[in-house]
Amino acid sequence: MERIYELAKQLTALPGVSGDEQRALGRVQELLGGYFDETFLTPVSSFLGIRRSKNPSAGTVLLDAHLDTVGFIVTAVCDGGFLKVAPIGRIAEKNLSAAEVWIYGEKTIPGVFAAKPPHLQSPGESEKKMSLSDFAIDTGYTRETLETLVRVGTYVGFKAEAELLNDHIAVSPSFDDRLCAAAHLRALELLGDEDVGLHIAFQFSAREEQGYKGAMTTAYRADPDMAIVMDVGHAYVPGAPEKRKTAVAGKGCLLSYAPQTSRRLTVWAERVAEEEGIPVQPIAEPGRTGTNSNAVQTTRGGIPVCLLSVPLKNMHTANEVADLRDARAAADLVAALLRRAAKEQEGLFRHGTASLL
Amino acid sequence: MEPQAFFEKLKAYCAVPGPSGMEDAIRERILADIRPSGATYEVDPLGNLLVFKRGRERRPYKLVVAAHMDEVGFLVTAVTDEGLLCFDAVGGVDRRVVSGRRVQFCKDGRTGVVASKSIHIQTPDEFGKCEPIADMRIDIGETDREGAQALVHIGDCAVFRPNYAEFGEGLIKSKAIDDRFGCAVLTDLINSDLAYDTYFAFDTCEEIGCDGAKEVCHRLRPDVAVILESTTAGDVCDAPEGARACELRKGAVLSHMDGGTVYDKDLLAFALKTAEEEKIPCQLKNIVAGGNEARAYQTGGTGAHVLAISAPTRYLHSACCVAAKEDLLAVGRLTRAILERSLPLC
Amino acid sequence: MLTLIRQFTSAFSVSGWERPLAEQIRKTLAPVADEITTDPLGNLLVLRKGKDASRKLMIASHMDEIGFVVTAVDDAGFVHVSNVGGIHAVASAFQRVRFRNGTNGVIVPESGTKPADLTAKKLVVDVGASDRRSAERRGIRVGELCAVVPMLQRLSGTRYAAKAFDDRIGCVVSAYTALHAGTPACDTYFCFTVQEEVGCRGALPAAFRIAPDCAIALDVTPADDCGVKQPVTRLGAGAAIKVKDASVLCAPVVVDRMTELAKARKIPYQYEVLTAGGTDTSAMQMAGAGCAAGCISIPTRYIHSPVETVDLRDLRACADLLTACVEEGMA
Repeated sequence: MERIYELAKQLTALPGVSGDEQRALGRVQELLGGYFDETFLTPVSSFLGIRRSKNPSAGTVLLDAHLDTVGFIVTAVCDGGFLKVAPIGRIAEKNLSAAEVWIYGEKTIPGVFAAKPPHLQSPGESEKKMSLSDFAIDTGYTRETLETLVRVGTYVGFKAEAELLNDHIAVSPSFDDRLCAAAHLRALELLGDEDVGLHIAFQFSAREEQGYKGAMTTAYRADPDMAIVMDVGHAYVPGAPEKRKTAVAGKGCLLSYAPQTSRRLTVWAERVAEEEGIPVQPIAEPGRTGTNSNAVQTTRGGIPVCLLSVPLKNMHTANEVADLRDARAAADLVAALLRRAAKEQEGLFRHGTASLL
Repeated sequence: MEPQAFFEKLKAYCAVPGPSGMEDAIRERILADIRPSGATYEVDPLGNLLVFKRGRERRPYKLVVAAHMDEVGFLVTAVTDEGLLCFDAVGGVDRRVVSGRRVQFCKDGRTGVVASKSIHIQTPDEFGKCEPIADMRIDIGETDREGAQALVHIGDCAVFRPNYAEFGEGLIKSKAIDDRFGCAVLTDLINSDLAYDTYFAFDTCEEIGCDGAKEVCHRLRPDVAVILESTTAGDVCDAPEGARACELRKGAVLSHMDGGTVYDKDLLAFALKTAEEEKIPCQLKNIVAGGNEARAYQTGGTGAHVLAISAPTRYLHSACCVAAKEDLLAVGRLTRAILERSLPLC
Repeated sequence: MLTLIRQFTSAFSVSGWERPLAEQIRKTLAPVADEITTDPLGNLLVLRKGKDASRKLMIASHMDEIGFVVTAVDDAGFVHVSNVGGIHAVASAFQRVRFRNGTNGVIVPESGTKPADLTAKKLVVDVGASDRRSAERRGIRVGELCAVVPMLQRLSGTRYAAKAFDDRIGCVVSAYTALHAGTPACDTYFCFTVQEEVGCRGALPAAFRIAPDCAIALDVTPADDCGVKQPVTRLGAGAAIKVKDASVLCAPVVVDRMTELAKARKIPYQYEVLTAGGTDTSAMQMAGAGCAAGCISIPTRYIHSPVETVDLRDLRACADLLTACVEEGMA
């Protein structure tokens, strides 16, 4: 089994709906601690690890992937042991009937999204727009017992496991963004003991699906000179607009040209990929990238960001499908960028030099 | 600077392509103008240009005057089999000012045309409608994917074509008056004798969310920020009085509140008083809409007192912005007058 | 507490001009404050030193209220306005308003506006002027602010209605706690913030300045339980511990700690999951390197109307819970 899948499988098995990432942090610390010289857990439920260069005055590169996943939050505990929920992150209602979930209450219990039996439906109902407020989660408990386990504000996440569809295509919930975290970690493994002449910080950041707050605050703390943010991107599927044909699963990781990423780093990364024979697909995003890139880039006095993405299908569902070759390309590219940054982007690492201010 | 020289410089600034995230060329042009002034400067990692100019006296607080270097533009998102370019706007651009325009690529100055179906082959349903920008295509004269890809890379940027010219009586028209005009006022100030120590910021990425200002604010931690901007003038044909925001030929625009900021009441009163004393025409913006970098400066770091002085400009974010020379000069004079004084800070 | 309610609800404090209320609060808290700071935006930061000087708790309630800003005065003397914050047009129509300088007026829909078409844009203010100049003589100029005239009405029992309980009532709870709580567990900043109604702009630089370890906002939350099967909160059911609103997912450590304190001190509480709305909580969570942020919400009916209604018992519960947080600490 491919190493990157092994890492992703471990990470996707962790809980961590946006807002409830704390639940995963203990295990994150266990799994990731060994990669770093120093680790921190932040007040905004993020993990920060730092791998020190021997040169104490070296610059710092920050790697970012987000820890949180989409999910739900309980808004009411109802008769019959049902739960009403609100979404955390954007979720397509059409995939919810009979979907399985974990309910992270006093103890973690399974649940199933109730599906309306045919005889209760009005004619043509299956064609109508669905709204989350029409759904409820069946827990199988009586209301009385359920109230001792679950409260308003309890988090709920998709219940499914990662599995391989063939030797390079995998499916799992929370590939967004655990697959990218796996790619960053894989890049660190590829470096082995090599000192790249830079401190390498990795943040597994919380609350991406809710305002990028984990990335913003953790990057502030890490205070890096440049950053490589990695998130999932929409892979082309039939019916998507023409411009999305630039992001095809299996053809390499995506590299974003955007006003909210550093053009200098993006051009450089594309050149590095070409020289190292790593498949990348350039994409262009004129507005918000919908990732942590902007939050990191505008932290402190401005941190140049390079944004990589792994193409993903069925984003924000229990069945996110990715091509592991793209994740591997991302890991290879991150490793290559880390190896070459100190020399080729020397101008960015000027910490401590005098300033007119 | 003499008005004529000022407008020559403005013309040159407006001509430089510089959409958000690609401000290198305009920054170099500005740097070339201010190097002889002896002011110290720094370019931050994301391309913001910060300048410090000594004045005759010190100030007990840190004041920055800011303008943004970037302009709205376009980003190539894909190349089609037919050799056309899919693109999207960088910054807030009304789709209707894009259709049918010519654009210039930043990289090599190549011209492209925002293609549109001629009226004869439109269906009745399509008459009078403008498709979303995502459905428009730029034609660079290539007929297949390979040909287009040899010339243009995904992520390449274009802007409206430079077209600065005198216009009517005392007006000018050009792309990118927003905010190259502010940049021109700043370089004038830097090249002149100042009463007090002053910081100047030429910001990047305003059009996509004031990103540059956020970074500058953090680096500089100003106590006061004066923002020079262009603001939408609604004195167009048939516009009802009272809903025009501001009008050409009525002087510098002062804002009390807009979509992003409630301005410092003391500074606003001080600016109004200064304008009155110096007999500089000014007007108050009479709608609450839009926004500028004041929002970033007011809430960045530990917060700052903010004042915005704007030039009324018609057809902002289009290929042809129209502004009155007298208003632009009024903004320059008012800014200078305010910098000459000591501010009432609470 | 009633005295504070009367004082705070009567001050003028539309977003952008919170100075009168800030003065009022400053005077009220001066006797217990170790330090009082006003920042460039007008946020008032009142420090009470605690036993542990190495940790900081920030408490934020916003001083500003929604209102209107003058955009033009027409020849007939009508004053055209734009909303400041989220105006409920139906609730605002046909109310008495007062300007910053004390000028009185009434706010009405433009003639001929059908009830269904009523939006904030259709509202104008009549200050009794017969023409533009006469309005200007009353000090009405572009940029002037006005708000509905203060009103405080006791309903039966422990319930009160007022305009701008959002968020004077939060200021009351915070100020009351600052006055009456025992020595804080750690350095505690009672912050009275500006410009929340126009996008939580005040709390961000205030939080950046303080760099707290933990932050608690105090704000109102809907308790519109009339005819609603699952209201967000219920009036009279106690302090609402916020888990989520549209702007923030509160730190679970804060939610759990508040729950623990409420149980220990037998304070009635309920949980709040709000799918709309935003509060200073969000700004405090993301300032600088971030902090563990939460919010005590005060159940309130008819928010952003001139008859916002609260229950004193909930206020006491909120003050008791905040006092517990201050005295026993959040860690």
